Amino acid sequence: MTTKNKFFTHWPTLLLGCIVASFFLVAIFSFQIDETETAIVTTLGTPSEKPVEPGLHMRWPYPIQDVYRFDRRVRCFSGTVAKDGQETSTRDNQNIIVSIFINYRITDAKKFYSSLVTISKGEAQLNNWMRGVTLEVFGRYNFGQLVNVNPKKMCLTQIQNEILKKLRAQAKPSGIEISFVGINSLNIPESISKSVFDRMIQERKVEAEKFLAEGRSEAQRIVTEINRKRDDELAKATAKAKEIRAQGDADAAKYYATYRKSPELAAFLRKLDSLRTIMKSKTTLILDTNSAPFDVFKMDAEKLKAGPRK
Amino acid sequence: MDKLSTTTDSREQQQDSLYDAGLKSLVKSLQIVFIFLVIIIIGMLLRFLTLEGYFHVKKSQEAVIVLRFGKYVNTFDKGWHWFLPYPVHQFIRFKTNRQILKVNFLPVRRPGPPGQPQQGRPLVPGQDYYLITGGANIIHTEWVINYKIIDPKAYFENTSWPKNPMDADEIEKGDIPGTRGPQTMLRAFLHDAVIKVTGSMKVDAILTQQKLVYKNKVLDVLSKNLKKMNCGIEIIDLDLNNVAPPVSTRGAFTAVTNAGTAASALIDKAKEYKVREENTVQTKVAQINADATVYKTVVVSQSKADSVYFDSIYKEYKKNPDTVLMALYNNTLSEVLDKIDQKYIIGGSKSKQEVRIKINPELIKEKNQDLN
Repeated sequence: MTTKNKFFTHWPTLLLGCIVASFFLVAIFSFQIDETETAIVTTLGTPSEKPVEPGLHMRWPYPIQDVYRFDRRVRCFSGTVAKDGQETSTRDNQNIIVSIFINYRITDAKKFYSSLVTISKGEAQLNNWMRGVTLEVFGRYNFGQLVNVNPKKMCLTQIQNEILKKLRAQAKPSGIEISFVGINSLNIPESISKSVFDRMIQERKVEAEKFLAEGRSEAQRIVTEINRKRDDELAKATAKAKEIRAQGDADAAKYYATYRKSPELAAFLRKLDSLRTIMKSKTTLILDTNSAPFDVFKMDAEKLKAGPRK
Repeated sequence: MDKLSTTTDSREQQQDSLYDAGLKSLVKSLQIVFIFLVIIIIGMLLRFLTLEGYFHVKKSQEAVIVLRFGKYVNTFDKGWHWFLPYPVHQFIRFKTNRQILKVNFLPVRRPGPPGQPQQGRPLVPGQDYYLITGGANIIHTEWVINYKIIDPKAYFENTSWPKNPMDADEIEKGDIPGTRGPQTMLRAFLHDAVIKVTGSMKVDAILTQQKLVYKNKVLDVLSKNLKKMNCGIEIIDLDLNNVAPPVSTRGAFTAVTNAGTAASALIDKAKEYKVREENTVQTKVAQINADATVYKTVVVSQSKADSVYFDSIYKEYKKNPDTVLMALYNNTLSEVLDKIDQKYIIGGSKSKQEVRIKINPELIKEKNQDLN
């Protein structure tokens, strides 16, 4: 069998072999960069001038060329002090325990590769910067500027902006952009927390007393006020009643003018009215025979015949 | 000699034929293996080109982002789709339904002597979590963030998600251990918002009447910061499940609440007294006015009646004064004596014997009947 004949006989096998081989060749001589990545290609150890954009690219296989990929998405990083915090002093010598977090991303892969090389080393460096800047910035503010009910005195946002500015300046030469700095924790040392509890309890006691005192005072005020109003109204009503009675007496007195016709008759009639009013049931009355009409008991027969003297 | 060479040749021929048979068997078995391998390769290629490229997206729960050689192609949020599989296309699946993240600022429960409460135990930073309020007081809180991915493309490009986006955040085990990912970022943002807002409010306001204001302020700060990051995540709701002072101080806070209640009770009692007194005063005033008015009416009417009576008596008195006086006296006396229970007339003589006459004594029988 000739070579040409052998080729035409075994062409499916050869074709399959070529397909598989081409897959391997493409895999060896190309690489992909995702949208979420940025990369540096080194040729015999020298990094490329510009970072590689997302997509399919050709390259020489290792050791001629090598590809270093970096995630360019935003990473949230809190450092080594995330859990326990970092103890520092404020300007007014109050001890606090604080930790911050940053959101950062790799924006310049070449600078990052040249200075830090890996994410792990990059975060180690960021951790050092974060610790240093935190101590420096927090040390310039009083405790009352970290927590305060007066918004004009509260400076946490200002502190964050200051830390962000400093960290950005430090990280930029390494190809890192820091987009946000936040406070992860703000605590006080364990030894101070007990005294804080005692102060809170004392403040609450004062508050409770204040409530009770205000309540008693307000209740007393209401009672005093209503008593005053009551006495006032009763006095006014009594005075008014007196006026009415006086008016009644005055009106009644107009009718007394008729008694001037015979004061003696008026007095006699008054006495008779008084008798009617005074003498009621459950009364014992003792009269003698000098009082009319019982004086008839003393008159003898001769006088009875004659009749009463005129 | 020829016989010997013939024998040797036939022996060699025998050996050659045996060798050829072995080779043929080997070739045959290799051919079989080769065919088997070809079938496997073709099967893998077929599977690779067909099934590997299919994916299905659950509506309202997932989104799938398709990359071609690493570049973004499209986002799919429902239905069945097919693309050439990896290495040509990549399919990245995200959850877009409602997700929950719990964040607590609570003390850790440490075992202590049995029966002894945790009161008075100081808080250890790093183990016990708490917040400092505007008046430098301490509180504990429990939060639940309800969030969802509303922009899968922004989330994909800007947020560092784990290798499998459907999983929880990855734990880095390198020089600086810890989690990295969207949940870590959300948790950190909430810490920041809660610390800032708590530090600007009074403890009593947070614990009592301004709880809702507190929660809404935190939500506001959290939402604004997330929006700045353009990370494709939206906060649906933020729940403040618990806010309480430290265990050691709870009795004192309860005492304040009780004092407030007691003060309100005192004021309510005073107001009740006020209402009662107002009603009583109104009644008394009305009574006083009524009595005075009645007195006036009575005294005027009485005086008028008396004057009319006097005028009518006077007319007759002028004509016959003695008779009128006697008649009036006797009428009055008889009217009065009729009402009096016990009446005695005693003699006016100067003798030692005294006569007493009881006028109209009540009969005992009549008296008993009256009593019955």
